[in-house]
Parts: sequence; C-alpha cells; structure tokens
Amino acid sequence: MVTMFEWTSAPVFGRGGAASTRCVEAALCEPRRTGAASLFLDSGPLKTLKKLEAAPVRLGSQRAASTHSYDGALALLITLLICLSASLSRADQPTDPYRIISLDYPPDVTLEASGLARLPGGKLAVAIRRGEVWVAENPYAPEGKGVRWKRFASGLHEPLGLAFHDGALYTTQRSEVTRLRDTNGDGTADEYTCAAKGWGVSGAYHEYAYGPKFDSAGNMWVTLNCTMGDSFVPQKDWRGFSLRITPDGAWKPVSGGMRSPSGIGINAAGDVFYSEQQGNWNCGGGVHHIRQGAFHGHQASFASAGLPGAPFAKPAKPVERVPIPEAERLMPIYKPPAVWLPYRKVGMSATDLVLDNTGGKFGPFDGQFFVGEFTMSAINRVFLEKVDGEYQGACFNFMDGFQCGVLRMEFGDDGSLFVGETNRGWNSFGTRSYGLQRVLWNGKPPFDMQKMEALPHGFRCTFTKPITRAAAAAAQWQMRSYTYEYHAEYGGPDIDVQTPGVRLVNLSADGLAAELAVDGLRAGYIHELDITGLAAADGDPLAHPAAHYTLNKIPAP
Amino acid sequence: MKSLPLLWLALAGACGGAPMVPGYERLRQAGGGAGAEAGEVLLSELACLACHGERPAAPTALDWKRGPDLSAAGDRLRPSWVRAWLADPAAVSPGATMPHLLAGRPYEFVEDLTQYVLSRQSGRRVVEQSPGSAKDGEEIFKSIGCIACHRDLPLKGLGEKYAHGELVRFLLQPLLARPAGRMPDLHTTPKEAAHLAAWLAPVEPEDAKPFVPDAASAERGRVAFASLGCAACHERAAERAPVPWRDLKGGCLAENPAAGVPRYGLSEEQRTALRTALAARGPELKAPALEPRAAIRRIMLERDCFACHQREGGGGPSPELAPLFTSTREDLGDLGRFPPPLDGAGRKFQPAALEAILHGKGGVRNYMRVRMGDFGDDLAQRLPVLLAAADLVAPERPMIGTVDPSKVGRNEAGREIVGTGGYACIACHELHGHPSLGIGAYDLAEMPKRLRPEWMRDFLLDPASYPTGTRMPAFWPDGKPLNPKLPGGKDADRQIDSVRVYLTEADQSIPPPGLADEAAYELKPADRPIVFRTFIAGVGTHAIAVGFPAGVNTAFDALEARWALAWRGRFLDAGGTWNQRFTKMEQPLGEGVIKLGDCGALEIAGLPKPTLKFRGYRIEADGVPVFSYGLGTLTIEDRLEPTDSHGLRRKLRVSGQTNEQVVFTAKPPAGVTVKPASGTALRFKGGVAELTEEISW
Repeated sequence: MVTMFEWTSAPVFGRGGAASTRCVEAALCEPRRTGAASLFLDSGPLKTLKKLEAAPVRLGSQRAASTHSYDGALALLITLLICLSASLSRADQPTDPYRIISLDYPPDVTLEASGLARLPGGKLAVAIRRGEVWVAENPYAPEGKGVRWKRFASGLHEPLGLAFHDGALYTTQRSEVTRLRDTNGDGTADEYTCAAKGWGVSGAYHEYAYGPKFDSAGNMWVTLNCTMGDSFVPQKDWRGFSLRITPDGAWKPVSGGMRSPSGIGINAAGDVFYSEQQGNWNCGGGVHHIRQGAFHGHQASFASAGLPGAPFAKPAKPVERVPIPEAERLMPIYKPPAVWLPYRKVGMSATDLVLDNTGGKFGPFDGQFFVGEFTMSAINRVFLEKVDGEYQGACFNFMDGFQCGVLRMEFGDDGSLFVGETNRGWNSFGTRSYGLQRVLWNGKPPFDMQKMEALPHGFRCTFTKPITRAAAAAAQWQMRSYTYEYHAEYGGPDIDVQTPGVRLVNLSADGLAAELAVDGLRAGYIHELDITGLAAADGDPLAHPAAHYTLNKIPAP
Repeated sequence: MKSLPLLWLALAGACGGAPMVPGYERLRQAGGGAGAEAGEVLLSELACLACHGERPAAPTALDWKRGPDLSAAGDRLRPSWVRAWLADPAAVSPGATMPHLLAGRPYEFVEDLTQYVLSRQSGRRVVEQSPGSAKDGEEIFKSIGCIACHRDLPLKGLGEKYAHGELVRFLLQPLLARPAGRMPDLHTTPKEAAHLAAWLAPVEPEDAKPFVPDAASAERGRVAFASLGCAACHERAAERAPVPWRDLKGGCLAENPAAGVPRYGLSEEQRTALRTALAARGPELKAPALEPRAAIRRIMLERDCFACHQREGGGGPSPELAPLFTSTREDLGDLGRFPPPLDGAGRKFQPAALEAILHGKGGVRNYMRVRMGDFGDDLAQRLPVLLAAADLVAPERPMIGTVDPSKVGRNEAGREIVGTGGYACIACHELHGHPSLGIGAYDLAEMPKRLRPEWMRDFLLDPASYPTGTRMPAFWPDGKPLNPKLPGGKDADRQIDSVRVYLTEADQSIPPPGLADEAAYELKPADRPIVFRTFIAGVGTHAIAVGFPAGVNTAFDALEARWALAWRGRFLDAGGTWNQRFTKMEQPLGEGVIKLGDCGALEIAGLPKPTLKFRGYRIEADGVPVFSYGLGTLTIEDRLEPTDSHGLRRKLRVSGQTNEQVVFTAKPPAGVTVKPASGTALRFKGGVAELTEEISW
C-alpha cells in the first residue's frame, strides 16, 4: 500500500514566504535548460545558477520537517550546480548517456544536410540543399573518422527530404517529388523521374517543399511551406497544405493551414504528424496531427480553400485575436497542435520529426517522437497519447550542444541517430554552418520523465528510473497553465496564466510513476510542470526538469 | 448688385465639426479630453499661443504649431479654393484647425485676402510633372506611413485646392509650405509623389472664370492679413505682447464667439480642456514647467509620433492599422515592420544620429515599408536634448578601453567574432553593404555610427531586455562569452568592444569569414553537361537548365514540358539558388539568348495544342539529359545538344499507339531558323517515330 502524502504548490519554508514564492514564480516563468540552448532565453545561466544557489537554504530549512538527508540534498545540489555551470554542453560530459560525434565529409562538399535516408548494406544517403545526394559508404565508422563518400545525384532544386522505398531514393524538390535510380549500377543516379508535381510555386521566398515520408500503404506524404513575401508569379495553389501521393503519382491535399511544416513523422499506429514553427498565427511551435480536413491555423491557406478538392472551406467568419481554445470553438475546422512546443522553452524552430522505432536501442523512449530544433541546435522529445479520440501529449527537452541547427534525423541500423545540420538563412547555435553528426547511447538510462499522461484530475508522470517518496517530497513540483492568442502577428506571449496547485497523490510501488492531482485543470491549455531538485534513487538528478503537457482534452473519469 | 445677406459672411459656420488635432484625439479617446494636458495640446496645435503666448526662449521649451508659409501660396493654391476656405475653413475641410476669422465681416475681406494670398508668388518656373498611377498612389499612401496620421484626417478636395502640379511639388518638400513639421517629409521620389497625387487628387477642376489680379484689392488684403491676426500664425514675424485672457467663457471660448473673434468651432470638451489649461497657466499665460519625460510625451502627441512609435507603454500602430505596416522581409517578424519603440532612445543614440533620424536620414531598416520622415529643424534640434535629459543614466559603467586601455577592442578580433566561425553576426545581419547570409537584418556597419557604445554593449549583453532585441540571441549571457575560445576569451566586454571596433572600421577592413571566402558560384561545364534546376527568368519556377562544355546552354520548362531558352557563352551563377533564401529568378550569364518555346513542338493533327505531361529525364552515358513527357497515349523522348556550329540539334523519339497523325510544328522567332519545316508529319515504324530538328541562330 502506498502512503498518501502531499504538499502545497507554494512552498512555505520558514520565514520570507512571500519572497520565496516570488522566486518560485520567476523560476517558473523562466525555462531551465542546461547547456548552450538556455543562453537564448530571457534569463541566462547565471540567473539560473543564482536561483539554485538559493535552493540549499530552502532544502536545509526543510530538513527539519522531513526525514530527507541534508547531506544528500547538498550533494545533489552540488551535482546540479556542476552540471549547470561546468560545461556549455551536456553532451561533453563523460557521464552523459548520450554522446555526439561528428562525421567526416569531403572538404569541398557543402554538406548542408537536408535529407537523410538509411540504405541497405549499412549505407546512408544524404541530400544537401545545394541539390545533390551523397552516399556515405561506412557512416558507422568509429568516431565518424574515415567516412567514404560518393556523389549519387546532382542538379536538384533544394531537396528538403529523402526517403528510400522499393529500391529507389525519393526526394522533394521545390516543384516536384523525384525518384532517383541508378539503372546501370555505376553508383550514380541516371534516372530522375517525376513522381508527383503540380502544386503552386510562385518563387516567393520560403516556399519550401518537404518530404516525402512513406506510410505503410506506400503513399508518400509531402508538406508545402506557406508563401511569404512578394512573388514574381501569383501561382500559390496548395501552399500550406499536406499532400498524400498514391503510388501512381496522383495526389490530393489532406490538411492545410501550415506555416513552416519542415518535419513529417508517422507514429507506430500509422498516423501522420508534422512539426510547426512559431511565427504568424503560431505563438509557439507545435506537433500537429495531419488528418483529413484539418486546418492547422495559418490563414494564408484560405487562398486555396476554394479550389476543387480543398479539404476545408474558408469559414464565413475567420476568427482572430481570441485565445486558442476559443478559436477552436468558434472555428471548428481549426485543429490546434496535438502538442505545443512552447517558444524558447522547447525550441524556437521545430524541424524534423523522427519516430523512435529502435525497440529500446536508443534508450527508454521507444514509440516517441524526437523533434529537431534549428535555432537552438538541439533535439526535443514528444510523448503522444489519445484522449477522447484525439492526440495530445507532452514535450520535453532531450539534448542540445549540436554543432549547428538540426534539420534532419534518421535512426541508423544500430539504433544510433544521424543528425543532418544546416543553418543557412537563419542563425543557430554551435560552431559550424552545416554538417552531419551522430548521437550514440551508452546503454545507461538517463534520469528523465519518460512520459506524462493526462488523468481526469491531474497527470501521471512516469520516470525512467525509480524515485523514492523522500526524494519526491524533497523536490518542488510546480505547475503553470496558459495558452496563446490566435492571431496573425508573429508570435506572442503566454496568456491567461494560472499556477494551479499540485499534490502528489500516489507513487507506484516500483517508484516509477507519480500521480499528481492538479487543482483546476483547464482544457485547451498548456500545463507546464517544473520539478526542482528531484533525484532518482541512484542519486542522478532529473536531466530535464520541465514537462509541457498540451491538455486539449481532459480525460473523462 | 448683390443682395445684402450675401455681402456679409454668416456668423454661424458650416457644420464642419470641431478642429481635428491627432494628439488631442488620442487623449480624448483615452478619457482625457477635458484635462489640462489636452488643453495644452490644443493651445499649441490650434496656435492659440500665437496670440496668447510668447515665443519660447529655451531651445528645449515647447513651441506651438505655426500656420503654413504663405510666401508662395499664389503658386500653390487655386483662387476658387482660397475664397471658399477663407469664407469658412471647416466647410471646405471638416476638422480644419484654422479658425474662421471672417465670420460676421463683410464679404470684401474674402476677396481682398484672396487677392493678397494669390499675389504672393515666387515667380518660379512651372515644371511639368510626370503622370502618376492612382493605383500605385493608394498603395504608397497605405504602405509608407501616410495613413498612420491620415486615418482621422480625411483628405478630400486636394484637386480643388492645389494648382496643377503643385500637390506633387508639396509632397516632395512639405516642410517648405508647412514648416511646423506636423506633416513630415517622407522623402518621396518624384515618381512616388506623382502616384500619390494621382490618387489623392484624381480630378483637377478648372476654375469657372479666370482669376484677374487686382493690385488695389491685394493691397487691402495685405493690410487685413496683418490686422486680422493672420500674420501671427502664418509669419510669426512680429514680436508682440501676448494677448492676456480675461474671460474663460468669452472670446474664442464662447459657445458662439462674437463677430471679429476667431471661430474654431470647438467642442464643449475642447473648450473645457482649454479652460483647464488656461486656468492652470494663470492670466499671465506662464507656460507650465515640464519634466523632460512629460515634454517628450507632449511633443509626441503634437507630432502624432505615437501613431507609429511606442514610448512608456503608449502608442504604436493601432490594431486596425497594424496590418498596413509591412516589411519586404517578412520573417523578420514585427521587428521588420513596426517602427521601434522610443523607450530609452536618448541613451541609445548618439546625439548627431538622433538629429539625423529626426530628419528622416540615416535609417537602417530598409526593409520596413513605413518611413521615418523629416519633421523639420525644430524637432531635430529640441527632441535629442530632451531625450538625453530623460533617458541618460549616470554614471554609465565605463567602457573597457577606459578602464584598461590595453583591453580596448581589436579590429581583427572583431572580424573573427562577427564571421561565421565566431558568433556569425553576418548570418542575420548585413555588413557594410554585403547582404547577410540569412534574414537580412539591418547593416551592422551602421551601428557604431548611430549607437552610444555603452548602450550597444549593454544591448549585446542582454538583448532580450530591449524591445528591439527580442529576436537577437544573447551571445554573452550574464556577461560570459558563449564561446571563450574566440578572441577576448572569457571577457565579454573585450569581445564586444572588438566587435564595435571592427564595425567602426568595417569600410576599411577585410570582410569577415563567411563573406570574404564566398567563392564565385558560376557553374562552368567542363567535361560533361551540368544539369541545374532552379528558377530562371523566361523559363519560370520549374526550370531545368543544361549547360554544355561546348558553350551552348539550354533550359527546359518542366511545368509545360517544353524547351524554353537557349543561349551561348557562360552558363549560370548558382549563388542566388545556393545562398539566398529568397530564390531570385536566375538570369542566363551568356549572350545570344533565344526563346525555344515556338521552335518546334509535336501536336496531333486537327486537335488543339495538347497538354504535355512531364515525366522526368534520364542522363545518358555522355551526360546529356533526355527529357521524357507524355502526349496523350504517346511518350516523347527529347534530347537537345549543341552542334559544332554552336547551334542545337534535337532528337525526338515518339513511341506508343495512336491512330492520329502526329505533326511537327514550328513558328520560330525572328533570327532563328529551324529544320525541318513546320507541318512535317511523323512516320511510325513499329510504334516508334523519330525526327531530328536543327536550330540555328
């Protein structure tokens, strides 16, 4: 039997309750990320450090009221401080379960990796933005040294995706999906077949086309960036739409309202998702579920809503300047993301979506999505569940410290993750402008929140390692719920913010799952859970203290 | 003989509404329409102080709005309009701020003053203006910022007001006619001014009868101009003792002012505001002392700076107008389209830069469509002083070079930091005219000329705490360099100072890594053809260009599945396609460009021009691409390559089953010869027909 224990969300530690509450509130408003990425945030590491320096006092005060060991807490804090301050990159730490290595490539190749495809025989194909496809013969070379490369195709127009299917490579150029085949076996493509085309290409900047991703039925999925800025020809049909292309090359738009859908991912159940970037009509990034008729929010798509075959009609009264849940209610075609990726906290510019289908070879996140992050040169993580028939879930930071903006990801044969990078057009953290890296897992589980599931009155947080009740009691669990305004302007702040009380009501016997009761869950709101000072039973500090759950629907009791 | 009532101007003015003063409206809408501040704004903007106040002595003191300079009004205005205006300004232009001075006076005053105003000509030559387009004019009006102020100031009857060509002349130099600087000079080009005039004054009615100058009448008008008080506003020449106020309910402030008293048509709320302000000033009209912050706010109200700029939480484009503020670089977001907030501007800018900015010069946000105008010398000299008094903080943390001269920034260190191996500032920012590698934010080389070094340093240390820094990454978070391996090491101040030094000397320095090593991207076919897909002018967005080592180049349009262009000499520059996010239409680099679209196509005899379906291409062993497309049930394979005589040879292979006759048709442009002749029918043998075409030019 599990003993029930609880605490209030506003910590009361000795005197100065008001001050510490304010401190906690500030801490909640400011995401805590380790590593370089946090340097983009409003508050930098030093401030974070100061907050944590203040923490031992609180823990010390709490010692009298709990059975928690002061020495243990101090050690934990020292560890935390070292983690935060010692290095700009988590990945540099020898104890980190994940490590990044960089792959060699010929110095005269501008390897702005824009598409990755695992090939039979342990090879890897890499599309680059300058319109070529290269094949790495031995991409698993130790430490990335001595990789042999061969150019497979050239003359493509900014390919932004690559897939291997039925013996051929497929890539999406600005104006078509192209199948590349080597028919004479010399290792170079000699057949460039148009597999699908016909969407509007006006030449306006930002008119990228992404994909394809193949589903289990052999259909290809392609997403089209919306048009921004001036264009020299007015043809803008289906900009901002997702397309499903059947094997015979026929296609139809499935959903629209996309802004910058640079990543497409298909989960284990076969459902298709895309990643969205903050900007006009999007105050944060997001992971959206692509389904028939969905309007994802960017109203530039209404320009195509009158075309034959449009998946939705332009509403008689398009909605603007209302909170997201209100927009969803007033404009039923509008489908907010399954998971919001809060701006800066979980990236500034989401890119690729890759499903962890490694069966555990990459750590304890099988079945989840990893989301690339361009500006902050990082990777985030998304857990999805279905509530009342619709997807929703939580996102978490995963790792940062890449050499450049992450655009593409592909799991290798061994469960390691190839990461294709470029930062042309925008800046990103890191030391390089492009390249290819690989993330290796050392087999030791990180201490992370593995998943966060919605309950009728709260959440269940499952960790990758057991925690003790004492550790849970020693930590601070804080919740903040908010939403965004649905508007045309570029980005926007959190609105309608509340800090509902959180109580831990149950910890599973194995110490892995903590059940939280939350006072006043709000449907349609992002619920951000921040855990300060939690350590696993083995002493590991929680690697990523924040989880962001998009509670589109509250599960029925 | 005119009947008597017509000879006297009516006492009651037309219902033109109360005078429209943007700053007053702003206060009124915020609920302060009856307060002292609103009254002070009216005292200035209705030029009450022309008669009731003294010229300010201190350069930082507030000045009132003088009327237009009429010294060349005879060039500018139409007689019929001047007459109507003098007879009742608000009837001609609702919301007019010039009072009705002639109410209850004999009509002859109108005629004499009209004669006088029209007599004031400069004698300059009339230059014919180029015609403008009203459509373009509307676009310009709504994009460069005119509408920010003229949302509430309707512009009607400008064709009736301005003589032919004079509206254009006014728009080119509005401060000449309106030196008060409430209407800024937006630096319109002659062409833009012509477009604006075409939209603002689509009709230029001719006066019913020609204007006949009458020197005697004009002389009477000159005397009246002085005696009625016109000169007090329009010329402000005479130093005169202020007219004290005696009665807050009488005079101009009476509900129905007596004959001979200026009639402003004030609303009750405006009268209340004026009374409040006057009561506060006292009968001596002593101007209230204003703190710099309050004086800045007053100036921003009077000039309607708040229409575009925020300061201290107020102002900025209204939600209705915000969509009209646009940028040529959309993904700079709001920073690219909204004028910056003015909070802290006095600390941010060097005084000379601020003065230039207030003259509408030295702007760096060239992607922002709304323009900062020239608001005249008066503002440019006074506002920087006030901003400095309000915003400067003392003492500033000293610059590192002051503390330790050995640590002053180094040009070469700054160059490394700015470049792609450093913090890659050039990834987003232009630098001394070099385009950025990315979004094209403003030119960094301008920054040290504009910004105070202390502000620049503090901004770079924590950009997110400044309203203009929300998209700028913090490279020195909490005072620590993100990359201590760069020159300057762990010393953020030193790194930043190096950036400042390098930017200061950018015009005489080597471009930073990333710009300097940008190779030429010209594609040069060497031993095999180069296939290159991009946007090409004359081909479109589905262009596939083929460059041959023989020096003849072609381009195929995959959208319509046809050859589109051929040219000789150099092939293409890939720089735009590879490096610019806005992929421009590439231009053939060589010469002898011809259109291939009508140089030969296959059609089904008797049927309209077919839609061809592009299927792709294959690269043959010699590197030449063979394009494939469908014509109904037929498949066409199309290989085009240079001949020895720098022409083109095209081999067409048609396969498939058809019962129709397939015909080669060609209507080559002048100077281009094709063989075979148009109308040649294909002969099928075993389901395949072949045809070779020669193209020369």
